[in-house]
Amino acid sequence: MSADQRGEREVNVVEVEDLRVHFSRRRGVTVRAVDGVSFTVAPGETLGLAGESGSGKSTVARALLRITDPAGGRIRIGGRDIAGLRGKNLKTFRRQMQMVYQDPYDSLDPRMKIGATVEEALIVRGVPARERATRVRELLDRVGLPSGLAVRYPHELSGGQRQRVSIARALGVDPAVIACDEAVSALDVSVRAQILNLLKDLQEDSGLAYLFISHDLSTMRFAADRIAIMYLGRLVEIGTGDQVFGAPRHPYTQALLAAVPVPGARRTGPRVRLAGEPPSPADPPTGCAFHPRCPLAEEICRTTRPELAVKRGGQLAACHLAPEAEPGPKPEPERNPEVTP
Amino acid sequence: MTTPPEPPAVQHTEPVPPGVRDGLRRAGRSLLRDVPALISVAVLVLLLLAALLAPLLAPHDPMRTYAEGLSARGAPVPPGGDFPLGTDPNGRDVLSRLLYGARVSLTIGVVANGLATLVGVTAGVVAGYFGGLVDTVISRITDMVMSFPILLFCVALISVTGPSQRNVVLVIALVYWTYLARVIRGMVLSLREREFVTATRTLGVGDVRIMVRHILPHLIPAIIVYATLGVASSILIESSLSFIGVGVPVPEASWGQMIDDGRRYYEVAPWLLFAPGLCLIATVLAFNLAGDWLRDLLDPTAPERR
Amino acid sequence: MTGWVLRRIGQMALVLLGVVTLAFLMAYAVPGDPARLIAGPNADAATVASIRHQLGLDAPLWSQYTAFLGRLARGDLGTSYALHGAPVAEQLAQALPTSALIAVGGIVWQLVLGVPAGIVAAYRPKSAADRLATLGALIGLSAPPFWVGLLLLYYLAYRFSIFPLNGLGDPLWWYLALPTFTLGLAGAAWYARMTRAQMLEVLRSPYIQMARAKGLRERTILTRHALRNALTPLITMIGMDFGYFLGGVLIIESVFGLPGVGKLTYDAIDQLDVPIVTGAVLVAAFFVVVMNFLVDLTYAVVDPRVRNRR
Repeated sequence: MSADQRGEREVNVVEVEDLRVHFSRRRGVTVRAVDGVSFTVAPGETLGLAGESGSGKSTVARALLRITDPAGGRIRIGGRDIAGLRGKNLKTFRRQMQMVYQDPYDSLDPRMKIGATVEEALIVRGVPARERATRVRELLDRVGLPSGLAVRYPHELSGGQRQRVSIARALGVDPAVIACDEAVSALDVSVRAQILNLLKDLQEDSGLAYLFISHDLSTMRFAADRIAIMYLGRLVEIGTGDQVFGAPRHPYTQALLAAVPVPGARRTGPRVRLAGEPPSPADPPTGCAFHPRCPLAEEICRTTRPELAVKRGGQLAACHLAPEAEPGPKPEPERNPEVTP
Repeated sequence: MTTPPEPPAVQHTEPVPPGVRDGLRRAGRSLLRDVPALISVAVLVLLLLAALLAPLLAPHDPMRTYAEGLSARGAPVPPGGDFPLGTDPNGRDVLSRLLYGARVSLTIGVVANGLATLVGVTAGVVAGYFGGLVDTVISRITDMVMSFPILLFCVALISVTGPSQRNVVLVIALVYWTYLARVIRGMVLSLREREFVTATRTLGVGDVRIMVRHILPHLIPAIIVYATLGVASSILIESSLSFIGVGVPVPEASWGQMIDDGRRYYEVAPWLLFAPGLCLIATVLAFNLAGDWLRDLLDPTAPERR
Repeated sequence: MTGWVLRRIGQMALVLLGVVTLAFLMAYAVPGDPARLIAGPNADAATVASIRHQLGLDAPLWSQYTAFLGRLARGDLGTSYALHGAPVAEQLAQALPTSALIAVGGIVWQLVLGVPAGIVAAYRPKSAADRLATLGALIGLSAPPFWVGLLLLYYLAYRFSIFPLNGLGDPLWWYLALPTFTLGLAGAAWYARMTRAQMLEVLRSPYIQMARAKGLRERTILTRHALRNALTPLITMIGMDFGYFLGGVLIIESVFGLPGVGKLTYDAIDQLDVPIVTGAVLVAAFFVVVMNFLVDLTYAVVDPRVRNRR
């Protein structure tokens, strides 16, 4: 599907191009936590961002929300470049994109009642005081919480209920995109499914887009329409769920899938096992960053960094050794034509 | 001075249910189990009553020299009879002066500390929240002020500005805000990294509202504890200043200055030392005990202070 | 490391400059006119003006400040108003040894009394010994030193004549016993609380539990492992205490009639001798800042992590 086929959905709600986030450490060492990442998210779509801890996936989300300032690249949200926004403009932008955080025990102010927490979003949006109580009740209802919880404090709620409150708060400013940063990872499996279903329902109702970040591939399989795999600050593979899980092209993706059973995922190619720890992003390997752990690595992998390219099956992958897409009738390319090196 | 925290700090567990009524009930229960704390609170209540009701309770005019308050040879009269706690070398009634002295000590301790708390909390929150240049400037100022030994610094400031009750208050506040600012700054530094603050910021909430609604409420327990302990040390400083002669000016009564009056006569009139000294130590001890109790009650992770 | 030391020296210089500036502002810019105070309430305007000129107080504040800095750089703390123009630095230098002796004595007392009390309290938390030590420490913190000093004088020197009443004599330590004890008492209370807190912290740590699991004797654990780790941070604070105690001698020396910096300052306050007071404040603050630096330096040499902290 390309953008114009979608008719009314002309613009991608999120367009990230060559995003770079650097952290400077002592002694002038710069860590390239995110190093040239590009992707888009369409309205009503869920893009999954997966990778080991330290791969930079959370940093991507934090840069999109301007919690962390990007060092370079373009971030367009709702058609507007937000990388350089300051002051009042930044505050206004923030309503476009919201985040549901990982730790349900720390993402709500422990000294503020649930109702007041949700109401804060309405205050930011300028909802008049007399309407707020009703709207808070509506928001709690939308996320499946009884309105009686409004007078409770976070410590009186379960982890799942707290994440629902977080979602209600995010919905309060009526955003176009919500980033879910490991939003269900801390929850019990049964609760996790409930929250994922809630997110899906909300998406169907209002065409929300999600940037869904997780290290857990089975959650990802369930939640995401498209999947992007990150390794050491770079995307190594991006495609639809079927493409990435059904026929992964990058050895790293294959290794991740080999490590956990994912429903509906098929193993292809040689069985790859992940050995050792990921290298430090402060001192990434030359060539393909994955080569020290890659069982297939050849000379070229050590010297030349592979760029994302269309591979067999249609997804993009950054690997010298992955089979190219068949010549002839080009398969529908991944719906992100701007993604070029 | 940075000091290690007393018990280990466990992050993210805030068992304190923030309701006021609930808190008071908890406080009452804990007070009944803690005898020293109970006594200290009782002492503080008595002290407050004494200070408030001084005009009603005092048997004599605290500033008046009574002819019958001096013996034939001009010595102070020992306790008993018309003067329950004796008289001072000027023939004034010690008990009345003690009662009025409670007013002075409490007023100075509370007002000076209120000012210091106001300034210290504001400076600490602003420095910790914004960081950068503001933080550097505020931190360097606190470093400088804290380089001076407290008492000597206060004495020097007052010896230049002239002793008066107002100057004592201002000087104590001028020194004490730095201690609070440093502690609060440290707490804000870690608070501002908490996820709920980030979440609130990404919601589009402004800095001022975040500081007031999300940072400050978490500091209240620590502020209560530090203010209580701060009153104790302010009263101690005030009495020292008055003892040296740069505190509350005569003939106004102050415990420190009463001890100073008495020291020249301690061979013949030791009650001049005991009465104000015991009041002083009881008051300061009560504030310190109450502060320690509040620390255990409200904020088990609060660091030690000097 | 060199970079760290240089940066730290820069910081120290900045704080010292700030301290000096604060002291200057205190002495010369604060409302209150030393010339009028010296001249007395009955002096006429011309007398006050001439005194003001004599003291250099009629110059603009900025040039007074640079002159003040210039004098300081040469180790000149100005001249006393009251003591017939005696140089302040000389007066302070004469008085400093006595005060330093008292301060060191106070530090000894605070360690000898405070640290064992803290260890005993931490050894069996919530025991009677712990409660006694904790309450004792709190009383020590709450007792005004001047009152404690006077009580000691009254009982031990006057009523029972065990110790000398005041001044200095032979043997020196006999004369300094009460003053240094008084000075060290509040510090002892402080150290007892700190030691207790540190010990409890260390005793809870995994490596102590490991040592217990290995079956080491409790005393070995306490002396070999816990004490050293608990006390290291405390011992380093002693450096700064010296500076703070130079402030504390103000009261002690006045109570016990000892000829040190404190007594000098005490008398200067009565005579509105601002340069002496300022000088004393500066000397004490100087010690605090420099000792603070030396403590940091020691830490940095021992523990490389400190260097990377800001």
